[in-house]
Amino acid sequence: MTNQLLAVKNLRISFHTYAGEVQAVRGVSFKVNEGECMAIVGESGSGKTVTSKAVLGLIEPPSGEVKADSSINFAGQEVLKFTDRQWRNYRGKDAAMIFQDPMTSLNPTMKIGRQIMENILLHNKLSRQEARERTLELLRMVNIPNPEERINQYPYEFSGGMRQRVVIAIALACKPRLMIADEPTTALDVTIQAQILQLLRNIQKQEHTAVIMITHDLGVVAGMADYISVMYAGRIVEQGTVAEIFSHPQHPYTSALLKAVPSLNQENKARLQIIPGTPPDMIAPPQGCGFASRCQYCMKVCQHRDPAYTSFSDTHQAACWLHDDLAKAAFDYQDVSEVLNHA
Amino acid sequence: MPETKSKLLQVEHLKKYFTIRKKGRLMAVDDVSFDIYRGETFGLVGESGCGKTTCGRTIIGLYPATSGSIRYEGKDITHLTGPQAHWFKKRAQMIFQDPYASLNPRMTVGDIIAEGMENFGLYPGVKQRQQRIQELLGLVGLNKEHANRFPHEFSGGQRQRIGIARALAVDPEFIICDEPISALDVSIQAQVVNLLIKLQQELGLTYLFIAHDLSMVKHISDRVAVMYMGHLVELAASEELYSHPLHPYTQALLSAIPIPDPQIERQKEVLPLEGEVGSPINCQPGCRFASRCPHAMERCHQETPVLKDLGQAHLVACHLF
Repeated sequence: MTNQLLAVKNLRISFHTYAGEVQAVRGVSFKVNEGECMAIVGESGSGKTVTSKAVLGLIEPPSGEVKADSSINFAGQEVLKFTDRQWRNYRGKDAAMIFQDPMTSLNPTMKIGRQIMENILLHNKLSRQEARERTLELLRMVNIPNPEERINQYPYEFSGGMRQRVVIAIALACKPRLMIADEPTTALDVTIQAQILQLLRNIQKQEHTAVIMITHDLGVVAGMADYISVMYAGRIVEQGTVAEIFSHPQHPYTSALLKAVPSLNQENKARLQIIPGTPPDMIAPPQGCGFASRCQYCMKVCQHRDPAYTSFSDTHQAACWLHDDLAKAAFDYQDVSEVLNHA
Repeated sequence: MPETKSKLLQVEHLKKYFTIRKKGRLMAVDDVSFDIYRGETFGLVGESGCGKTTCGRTIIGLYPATSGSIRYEGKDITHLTGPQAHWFKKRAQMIFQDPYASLNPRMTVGDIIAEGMENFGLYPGVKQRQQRIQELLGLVGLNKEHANRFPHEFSGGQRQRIGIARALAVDPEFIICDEPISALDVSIQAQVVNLLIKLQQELGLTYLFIAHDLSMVKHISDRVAVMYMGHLVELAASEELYSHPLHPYTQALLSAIPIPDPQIERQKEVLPLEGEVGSPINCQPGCRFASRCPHAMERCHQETPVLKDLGQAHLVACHLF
């Protein structure tokens, strides 16, 4: 059940702009097992979308550059060394993507049936008739009513939620082993969001697909993910299982992020815990920990040297100087989560 | 809650229809009535297209109302012109949703904030005005050096602070916040919400807070109204609404909020809501929610339910009650 499907190691991505080199992703490593959902959480600009795009080879030169020592291993193959032909076979078939905005990710001049069939015909030796059958099956799977009629309609005839279902159907067309969902519900209303998340959960169970879910909504993560990676300033600052991250956050950023969202049973108008300041500029990323300038526990060492990962279990690790033995001795505490919770 | 509950704004049977060529009328806001008390925060929630923004814009006079009346401090402000409109605009201001689109990119932050003062002849004299601008910048958590910069030099959260400073420039009593945080990141959202709460406590402001983020609305509001396709379906104190939602739509909406706690989130039951929001063009009488409602009866399709007070100022528009 827990076969490793994807292993990303030391992924570094830069974009070359007129203003300078933007180091969007600075050494990210994670693993995704078959049939499991890994969520990448972070603010805009933290590098989560760029990371996922790299998995599908969508970082385009010359402005985008995946650094030479990065490695992305998919089911035993090194995808960063793929030829163009191998990329074409892999994209859409082994790994597929659900984009954020259903309004712009469909071609407005193509009937949705053709858009779904395009992917099927590209990767399978099927006749048009068979592809059509499969398309209808897919539309039923994503709960679009009257698929026979809908297959001949254009995207503008669909509402936002229905379009996102079509986008999911395209992603599912070739039964991918890995599905990357980039903020799949951010553009949708809450009730529609609930429908789409339910759909994704069902599909993941039925098809045993691995999912990388990119989001900034911790509520969505809580219901969907098995594992969570928290990204900040191009690095993963903490990763662990859902239970570990939500009940024992070990990094000040994770802990602050969890407290910044008002919960429904919280007292009204109580001050929300804020994270002061704004994320760092990635053209000149900070020398030490990326979060140092906004961190209320910032020590001198944080500004100069990057913290290493400390492991708390097989699955849970965080990169923060607070876990260093010298810091613990100097400030006299045993467990960092105690410090974080008493703030 | 304010101690003396005096009504600041009274909205009665407000309608705003947009005429669409060949198709008919889009009933964006259809017979909406509510009062806002002085010093409170009134939350208005609903899904996109339910008419919440149109409602706010009609109140402040950006759209002319089709029918109904809006009264501010007892004065009818529905169709104001000339000096009366001026009088109202000095008292009511708006904070817009998109901090990237709502600031003029060619004006410095100082000019943006000063524009309102100029219009109303407040703080005459260069020195006084400069001082006031610096005061306002400090109030919203920016530096006074920022007055000479242009909007593009600021991040989303900072821009929203500039928008707030602009609204405060004319010393208003009433501010309509139209989704002021939905374009911002989670950690920045908390900063802006804390600022809004702080300003309310210090300056005694009254807010109409329009948003679709239900947990944030609960956090900031004293009372919350839920809109669905131009109708107000439920209105209650925010604690009451979130702990005892009565209208089937409110119940479904609240159950759909993802809760950032894995244990609760995985066990909670989402009330399934079939289908999607219908078209608000040329609506027939009847409850707008009837086609998606699990409890719909014959009567719901024929007769439009009106808001009924079920005690403790909990109003609901549903034939079940």
